[in-house]
Amino acid sequence: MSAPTARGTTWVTLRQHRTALWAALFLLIAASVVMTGVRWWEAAASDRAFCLDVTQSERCGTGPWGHASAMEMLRLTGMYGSVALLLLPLVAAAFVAGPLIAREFQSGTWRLALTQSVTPVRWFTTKLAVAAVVVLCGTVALVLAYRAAWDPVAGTHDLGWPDRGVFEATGPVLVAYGLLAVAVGGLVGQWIRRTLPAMSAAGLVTGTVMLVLGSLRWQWIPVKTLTGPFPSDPLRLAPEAFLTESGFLTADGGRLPHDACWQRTHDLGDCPADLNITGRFADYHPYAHYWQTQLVETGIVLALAAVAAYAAIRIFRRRHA
Amino acid sequence: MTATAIEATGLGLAYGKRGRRALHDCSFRIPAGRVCALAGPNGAGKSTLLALAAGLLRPTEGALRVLGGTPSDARARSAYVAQDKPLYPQLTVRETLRVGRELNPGRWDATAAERIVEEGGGLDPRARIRSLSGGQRTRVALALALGKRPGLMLLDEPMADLDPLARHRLMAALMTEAADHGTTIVISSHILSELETTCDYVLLVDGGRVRLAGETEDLIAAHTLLTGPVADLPGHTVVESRTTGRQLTALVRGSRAIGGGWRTARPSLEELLMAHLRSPDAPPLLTPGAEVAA
Repeated sequence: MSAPTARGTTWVTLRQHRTALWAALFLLIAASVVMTGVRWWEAAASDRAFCLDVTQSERCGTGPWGHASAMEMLRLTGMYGSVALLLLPLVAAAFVAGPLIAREFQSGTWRLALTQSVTPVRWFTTKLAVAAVVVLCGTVALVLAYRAAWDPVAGTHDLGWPDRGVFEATGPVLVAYGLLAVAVGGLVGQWIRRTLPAMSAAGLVTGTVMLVLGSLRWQWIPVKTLTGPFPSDPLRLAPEAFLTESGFLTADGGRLPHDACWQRTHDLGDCPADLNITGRFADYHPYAHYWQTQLVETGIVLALAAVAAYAAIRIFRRRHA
Repeated sequence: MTATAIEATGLGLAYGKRGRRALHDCSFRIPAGRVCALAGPNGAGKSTLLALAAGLLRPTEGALRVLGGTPSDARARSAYVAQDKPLYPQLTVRETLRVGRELNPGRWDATAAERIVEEGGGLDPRARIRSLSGGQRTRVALALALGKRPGLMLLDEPMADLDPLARHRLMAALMTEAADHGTTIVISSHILSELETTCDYVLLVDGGRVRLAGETEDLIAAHTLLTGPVADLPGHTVVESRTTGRQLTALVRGSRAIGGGWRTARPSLEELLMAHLRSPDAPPLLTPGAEVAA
């Protein structure tokens, strides 16, 4: 990137990583074009109205450019796109830790940079700031493009809002994970001063944080519980609700798992009297919890990012200022 | 006393917690405006000393003051060229000089930097650093250092990659810089002969300690090369003595006249340094100007 107006440490950072920036920009544009393009295809398909109307589904074509093909492509885009976006913070962490920082130490160029007039901390924070701006703009654009592609197929198999990958790719948490990745990269890169080990370690740390928070995220907002009498038909939840647990209620207020009767009678609706079952329950997250969980997780990740960035700059200052 | 460029007091650096000591208990002073030869064998601690002065390493014992402040305070006013001449390989020569301009706002002297790059010709400003020879890289690295218009230049084995002609040209450019701007230059080398004509100050380090420090003239004048029959030399501090047959050659401290058939001569700087390197037990000598004021 030529960045004609950039000055000082910013110019140096941009010039050093010009090729990587062009590559990132190309990939960003390509991914956005694919995601919005397939969405445009879906919206423009000539048989769209018939395909969305159950009563006219016989007029919904199966041709290669028809609406059904577009929906299939959207599903594929949504599946692969969510995996790719899930990996994006790992890539960002690896780049910041490796080529951006550790390589300066490995190749010795840090001695050139740190003996100029600008302060070492200025040099280091510029690197992190440039990476943070690039990651911020990139993830915001990708999340918006992903949401555009995901919207028509939202809620289909493996593309529900609580599904791992989809949840991250559709909201501000991805932006927060990207910023965390930059801070983790800054911390790891100056600690492990060799490019490849630093890249692996930073990716591993970021991935671990995403994995751990991802397995905890549905516990932050308390589930809602729906109950109903037994015997009766199974409980009906709103189609977009995210069921976390269901089962039977007993006369003494206890809970039994959903397969408690089946274990005994091999019939889900036939429950032995000694179980004292009086009702059914279902714990679930309504769709409203999507945004609440997004905001809580974004807050947690941004707090972690701030701590990591503060630690990275402080350690760098102590070592080099 | 003249202004001080570098002053070390009990300076030491150990790598790792109980690691090898690269420098130990070094106290010396380099006055401003000198061209100082930092001499010593490989592994003596020359590079460590220069990196400490550049603020890239922190001393583990003692203190180091550069241009009246800490090495960090002096960062804008000192320039450092590391032994391996680190540069960004993907940048062109012109872009590398722009790095100097961008990282030294308000100080950068493009003319001075370009003069070094253009000197002797043949250095295309559009050439990438990775395509340059070792000597060409040295010129770019020195251009970056000189473009900073530093008060102190710390050069770690700067001439190792240069052919004799380029070496001569660059030394001349450095000497002009020193003469025109009063720049202090500390230049490390293990090629002793190349230092004698250009350096008016000497710091000899060996095994992490300072062995000699002071004005070249004063250090030479403080020693005498004796040749004569094999005999004891009472009353003299003998740095080194060698016998060849019945003849003794000795380097002694002091310039007192000696009777008894001794021929005396003024040692060259190289003889002086070599004698000290061959005799690790010779006591260190610092001229009054190189002593740290208590």
